[in-house]
Amino acid sequence: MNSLTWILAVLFVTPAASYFIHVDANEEQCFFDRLTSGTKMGLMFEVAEGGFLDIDVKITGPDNKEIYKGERESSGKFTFAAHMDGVYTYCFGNKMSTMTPKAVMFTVEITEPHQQAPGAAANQDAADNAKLEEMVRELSSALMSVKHEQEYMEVRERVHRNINENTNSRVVMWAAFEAFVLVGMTVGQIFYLKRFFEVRTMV
Amino acid sequence: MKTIIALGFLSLVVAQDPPGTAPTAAEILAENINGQTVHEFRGYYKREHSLIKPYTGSGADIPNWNIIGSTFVSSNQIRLTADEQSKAGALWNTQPVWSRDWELQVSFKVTGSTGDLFGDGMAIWYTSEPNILGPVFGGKDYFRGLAVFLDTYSNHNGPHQHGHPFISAMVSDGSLHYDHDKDGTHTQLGGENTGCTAKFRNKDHDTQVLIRYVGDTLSIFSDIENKGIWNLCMSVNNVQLPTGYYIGVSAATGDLSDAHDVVSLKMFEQEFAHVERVGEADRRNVVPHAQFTASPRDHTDDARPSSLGWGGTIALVIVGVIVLVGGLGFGFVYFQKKNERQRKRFY
Repeated sequence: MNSLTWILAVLFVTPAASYFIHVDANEEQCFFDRLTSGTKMGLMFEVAEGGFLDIDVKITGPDNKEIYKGERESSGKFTFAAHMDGVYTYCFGNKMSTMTPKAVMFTVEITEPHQQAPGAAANQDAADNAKLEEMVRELSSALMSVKHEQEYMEVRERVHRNINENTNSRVVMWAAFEAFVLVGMTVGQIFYLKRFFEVRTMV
Repeated sequence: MKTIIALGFLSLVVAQDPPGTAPTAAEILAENINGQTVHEFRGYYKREHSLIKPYTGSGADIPNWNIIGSTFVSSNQIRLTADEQSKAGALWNTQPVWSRDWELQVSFKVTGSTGDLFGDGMAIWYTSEPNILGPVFGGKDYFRGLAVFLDTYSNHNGPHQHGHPFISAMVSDGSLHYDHDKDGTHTQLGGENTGCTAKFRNKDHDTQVLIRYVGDTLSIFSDIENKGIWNLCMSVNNVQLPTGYYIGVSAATGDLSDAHDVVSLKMFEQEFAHVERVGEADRRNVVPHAQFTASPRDHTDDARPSSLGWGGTIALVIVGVIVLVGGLGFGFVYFQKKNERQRKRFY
């Protein structure tokens, strides 16, 4: 029986968070968020370690209907709007592997529906405050985006560094093997030629 | 007699001429686009009204756009509805369009796994109230502005007699109802025969449509076969649209379903020299109006498939009951006499 692990990932008060999980072979890990109608949810994930760096992704709504289902994906970025209040579940499945665990880094970003202030601004100070608040919110959103991008690049840098170091180690071993074969052939040739110049005297 | 014949001929000649015989400059410009390549950029690219891959920028939100309903944004496409029943999704711009003359190039894709039963279609909006889901292909009925319908399902076989998928348009000032049962031909821009059939469903490539509003003339072009050239679908002049409305795309499914995807949206502002009359400089208060629309027709329900009516149905039921009772009675009598005959033999 496949083990199903439910972990409360993101509380309502935390709009965005990053997580690094390990999904064992034949395992599926699910996380959920409670969303209200109209809220936008963004999910970004990247497979960092394991096998062919692929994972199965599934996003389910509160009515147990599939919002998205993807198989053997290495990375993805999805955005959707919550169509009803309830629990939205997203699962990472590693059922295609029999031995290899996978490491997945994912980020969940929840955007509340934009609360428009009712009515126009009463005076210039209120208008300036509203404009300032809007600009601060945009700056905060941009900084959060930069942070997510940096985490994403960090994971990619680690993956690419692993690939490059693996390639480099293989190249080094191959070079050592070539050197060994070269020295062996040289010594062999010397002894082989030496046999031709051995003179046996007949008495 | 000769005078009567001459008058008849004159009225015939007069009746043949549509109002405004000389083509306007905007119409000539629009006709020149027919056959042109789709990669030619005309005018100024408006980034805040456009949407191209990978849509989300660096974060999870889409800048300048708002998704509602069942819309799902991934890296390659924006899926307004999946291939499921009773879905509605929309994508609305958050910035009003203040350009007087503009072009909107929409790249979309409609796919489905069912062969012959699919629906309902998509709509492209330029309307005053964004972010509202409704019954008109996922958009609001009694809207105020312009709507371009990409209708994949034919609800009515009758007066309009055109094949589906069909591209048509509608201009409303908030008082017009889109009649789904008549495929919107009651309120169609340019008349019920304006528009074109475009077989854009289940293509392996992205299909495109160009909506051009320049010089109070609305023109729609399409590139369905991936040849890279525009084909003129329809062109209607004397269409009054204000500035300050919102661009949106919506789609809906009902009992029949399709996957409706938006691949890209590009908005270009066009330059056109207008003859400004007094009071026409400010376009934001213009009431959406079109001089050439379908003539008003009342909504009549389709004829019922059965012509018996209630009386005929009741009579049919009574006859059926009589036949049933007669059969049962005959069977009963037959088996009773059979039993009697068996008893006689035994005796």
